[in-house]
Amino acid sequence: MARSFGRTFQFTIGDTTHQLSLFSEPGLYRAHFGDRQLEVHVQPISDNCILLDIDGHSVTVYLAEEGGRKFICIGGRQFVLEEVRESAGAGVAAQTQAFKTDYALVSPMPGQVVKIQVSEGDVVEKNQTLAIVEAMKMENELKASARARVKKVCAAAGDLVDAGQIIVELEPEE
Amino acid sequence: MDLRKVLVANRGEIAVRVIRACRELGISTVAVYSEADRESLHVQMADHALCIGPPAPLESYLNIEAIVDAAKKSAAQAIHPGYGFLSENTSFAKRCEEEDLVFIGPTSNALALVGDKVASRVTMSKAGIPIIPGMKSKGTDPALFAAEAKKIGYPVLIKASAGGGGKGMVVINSPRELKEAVEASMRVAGGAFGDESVYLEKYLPAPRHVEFQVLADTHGNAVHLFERECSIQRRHQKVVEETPSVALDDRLRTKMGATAVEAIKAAGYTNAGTVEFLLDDDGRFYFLEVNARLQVEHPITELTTGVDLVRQQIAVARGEKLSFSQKDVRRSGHAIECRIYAEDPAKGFMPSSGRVAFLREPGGPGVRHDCGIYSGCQVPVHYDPILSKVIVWGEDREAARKRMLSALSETVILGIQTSIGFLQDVIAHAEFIAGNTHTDFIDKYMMPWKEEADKELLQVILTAAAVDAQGKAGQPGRSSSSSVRQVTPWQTGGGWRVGGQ
Repeated sequence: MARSFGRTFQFTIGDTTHQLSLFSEPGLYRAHFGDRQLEVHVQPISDNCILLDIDGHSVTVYLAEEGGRKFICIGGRQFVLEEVRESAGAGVAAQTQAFKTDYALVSPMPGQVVKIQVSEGDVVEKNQTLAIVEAMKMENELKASARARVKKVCAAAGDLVDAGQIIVELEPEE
Repeated sequence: MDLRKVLVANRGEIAVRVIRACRELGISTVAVYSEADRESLHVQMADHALCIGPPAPLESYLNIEAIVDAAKKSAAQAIHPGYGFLSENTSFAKRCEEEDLVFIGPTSNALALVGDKVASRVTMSKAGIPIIPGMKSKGTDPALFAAEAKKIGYPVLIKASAGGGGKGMVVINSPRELKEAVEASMRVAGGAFGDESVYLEKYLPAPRHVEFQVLADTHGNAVHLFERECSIQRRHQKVVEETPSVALDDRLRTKMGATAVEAIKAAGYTNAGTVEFLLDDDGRFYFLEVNARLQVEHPITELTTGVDLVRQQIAVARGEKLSFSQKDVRRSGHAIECRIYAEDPAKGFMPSSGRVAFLREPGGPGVRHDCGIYSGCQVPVHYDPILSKVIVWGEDREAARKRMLSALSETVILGIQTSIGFLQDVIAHAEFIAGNTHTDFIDKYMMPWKEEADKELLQVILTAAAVDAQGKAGQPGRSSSSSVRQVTPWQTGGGWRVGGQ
């Protein structure tokens, strides 16, 4: 007796979001991309490896989840995917991201603050360097994306910061 | 002299490399590690291991007191410094000499000369060896730099006098960038080498970077082991190296090799070292610097000459004579090295740290993987982002190149961003195949770059991701990276086994 139930997935790779529907049936999956359909047999090899048999082609896929992202490697090519979940949360997350980018200076990577070059109340110009963060011996100058006023300095030289952590809060300045 | 115990004052793949050589020689090893490296591979491989301080390099791997202390505590007779960190630090070598510890490298006097890039420019210039135009003294006063830059003309390059590995190097195109660049360079140099002096020289936009491996014993014998071409660089750090260089014919090779040996003798240098040259398209070469250490890219010389450089270093440190002379040095075939960094080439090579969820190493004939990581290890933010090196040998350049592509395609490092995909595109690039490898290669041919998937591959990737996500939905609380599990999510989630007929 054939059972078939589908689920739609959205994944972001880089700046692009892709969509597919996956149907599970006994012994196989069907992946639908618009009007194209793939018939897939899955052979688990280990925790981090599966063999996909797709229309008679065998593909070895290495995969792991780390920090909420899926790392998928095929033929030495690694892709990092983030699943877009169909919930109110997604919209909020996107808004938070936009807020951070426009009105706060965030560290693009985990690292150590080398220098903060502004103080509260300073008016900064677009492209002005506000702070320097170092990771793995590489210095990164963090610059203002627009003219703004420094609302709060949230980190000090010597602090260890995570990727996405706010270093300087900004507010619009006309 | 008899060496029974060596302390390895480094971390990552190079510490592992040195530990292996010691083991082969029946020498016991002492690893040192920072608090961030307690679980690192080199610590696991050594016979003894001692913590030398907090994660910050200045408090651990650059901490001379702590390392000398560790050597005494563990009764090590010698210290191998690896590359980077204290490998070219004169005070460290001197301190070892004072403490009767054998420093596996040149003497502190030779180090003082060649390790100081400005002093070695002066020495080489006096010995009639061509150098790049620029300062023959170092300083901290921006006015001094501005004056020299004006004299030789922009663009210019600021370099750390004690530097290496491109740290502290900044290209400056106009006078108004100068002050900030000098400051940044001094800060990086101070942090990385404990010496913030910098100097300025003419920036040559697209030379080739060709270096000669040399070996000198303490009895006055010196040989070179041919060249390595290291032109493929990003941020002045080498990414791909190969030997032989496509740019040298035998006449130029012989001339540069002889110059390298002369340079080493002029400096009174012993042990393994590398003489770096910049080479222009007219066959003119300029002395760049002596790297007074084992180089990251030493394996390609080992694969083509059959000489184990780390074992040679230890033999020289023991006071042995070189067992071969220049005429005995033969090379065969072609070797290429690709450095695997924890970084994202799609985002300006931004460093990537975190947990390596999974590692699969390449293998097969002629493939060597010098690796400092393992599945499940953490890559700390505090140190150089080098994870491992894939090195291949082939009968000729094309055989080696294809072998490299194959080896990279089977290398898997999941959980952090790496340069593996980018390196495949470098090695497969028509200009690389043609041998047009200059230091501007990456900017000119590779950027901007991102990992591209055609429609077919993209659909496979998305299918795999969906199958994985589906599996997890059926197995709440479990992840594909958990190491203990009875049933994989694909078996249950897909329903193709439990669903039955």
